[in-house]
Amino acid sequence: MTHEEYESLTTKKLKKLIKHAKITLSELQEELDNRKIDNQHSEIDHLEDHMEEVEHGFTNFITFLKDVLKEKK
Amino acid sequence: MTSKSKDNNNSTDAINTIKSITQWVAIATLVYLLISSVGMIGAGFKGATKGQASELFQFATNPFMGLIIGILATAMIQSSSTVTSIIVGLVAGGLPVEMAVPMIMGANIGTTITNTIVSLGHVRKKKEFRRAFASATVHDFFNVMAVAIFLPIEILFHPLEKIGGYFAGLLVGGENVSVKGFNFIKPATKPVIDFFADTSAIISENAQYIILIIFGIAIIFLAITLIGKLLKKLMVGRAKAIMHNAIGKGPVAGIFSGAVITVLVQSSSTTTSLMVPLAGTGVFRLKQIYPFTLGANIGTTITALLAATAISGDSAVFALQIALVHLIYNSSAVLLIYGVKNLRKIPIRGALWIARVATERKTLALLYILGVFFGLPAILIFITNQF
Repeated sequence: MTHEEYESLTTKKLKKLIKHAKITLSELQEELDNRKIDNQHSEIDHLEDHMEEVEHGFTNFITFLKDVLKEKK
Repeated sequence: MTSKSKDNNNSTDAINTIKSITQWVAIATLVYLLISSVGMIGAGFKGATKGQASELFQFATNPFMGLIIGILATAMIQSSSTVTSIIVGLVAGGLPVEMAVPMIMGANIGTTITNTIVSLGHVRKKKEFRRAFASATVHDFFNVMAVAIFLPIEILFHPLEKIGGYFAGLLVGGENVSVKGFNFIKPATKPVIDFFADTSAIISENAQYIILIIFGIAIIFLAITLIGKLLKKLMVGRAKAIMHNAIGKGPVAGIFSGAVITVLVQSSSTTTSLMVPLAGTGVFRLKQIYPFTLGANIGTTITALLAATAISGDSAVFALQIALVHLIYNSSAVLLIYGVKNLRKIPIRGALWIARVATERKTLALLYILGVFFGLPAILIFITNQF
């Protein structure tokens, strides 16, 4: 909708549209929050994989040192 | 379901049950060895110093030196539980609590190197590395800040030592009793301590107490490492349930679940390191990881408390005192720094800043690690040697 079209709306209609927009916004926010929480639950379901990742501390450090040396060159 | 597949399921269940029982028996044995080894260190240290422990540790009368010992020892063996258990043993052997307090504080800083190293694994993915490095270094900033606040207060007024001493006095009974109601520890650990004491004497009569201390340290390290590995396997399901339960429930639930998981796996490094990949993916935000990490600081104090139950007799009160100092210090740091809004934000801001800088120039990340865990102690040694 353009600014001119908004101007043509009655105040009552405008208030109704704002109310709808607010409801939609809060529903969208809720949906977004739920997705974030679902993602977090799903990530925790893979905790064993993360535990394995954590085991490779020394390998990680060597990889990092290689990258540091590359950056230096 | 056919009878054959039913039989297969039953035999798999039976194998799993036997496996699980074996693992729990192994954990119980390792805990027994851990407790015994703390007693060994206490006995060895007492014998080696002949009651002059404070003279032997004269160089650590400077609290900064104690702090450095704690940082370096923990950073090198990457286990604060091992270091704090050894400290409990040393206190039982005569090391004054006053000297041990900065060492405990240093162990807190030293332990944060583990999750920082874990975060380096994300180095090849820029965004992921920034998030992972921030989630690891928030722990560094918090622990350094806690020392900066509490160490000067402790040097001036000794509040941790006094409070720890008060509660230890309430909990510990008289002669030949360790912790009230737990007086079975001494007779239970005596055979192991005697065995290693005799073996040490056979190896060298002159250095028997030093050898006993070395045996004690080696067994503590081995026991804690193996306990951690076994508990990680056994407790992963429970840890998942706790974390699922904490999602969306705010920081207090985060602190609580961090503490409980650390108690379950007996390692703060495991708990804080686990958070690094979770943060790296971007699914968990730094704000959510932070309280969880603080919970790990509280949960890890259980090991020193467990180690303190090994000590009986006159020194039991001091062993328990230093273990309680660890608990009181870590809990107070969380209450103060996380409780005060302006202080709470400092570790987050620091971690985000260092992560941003380190992502752009990886050399700075390396300098940061070397600086915090080795450079800072070296500078402190230099400064303290000047005065």
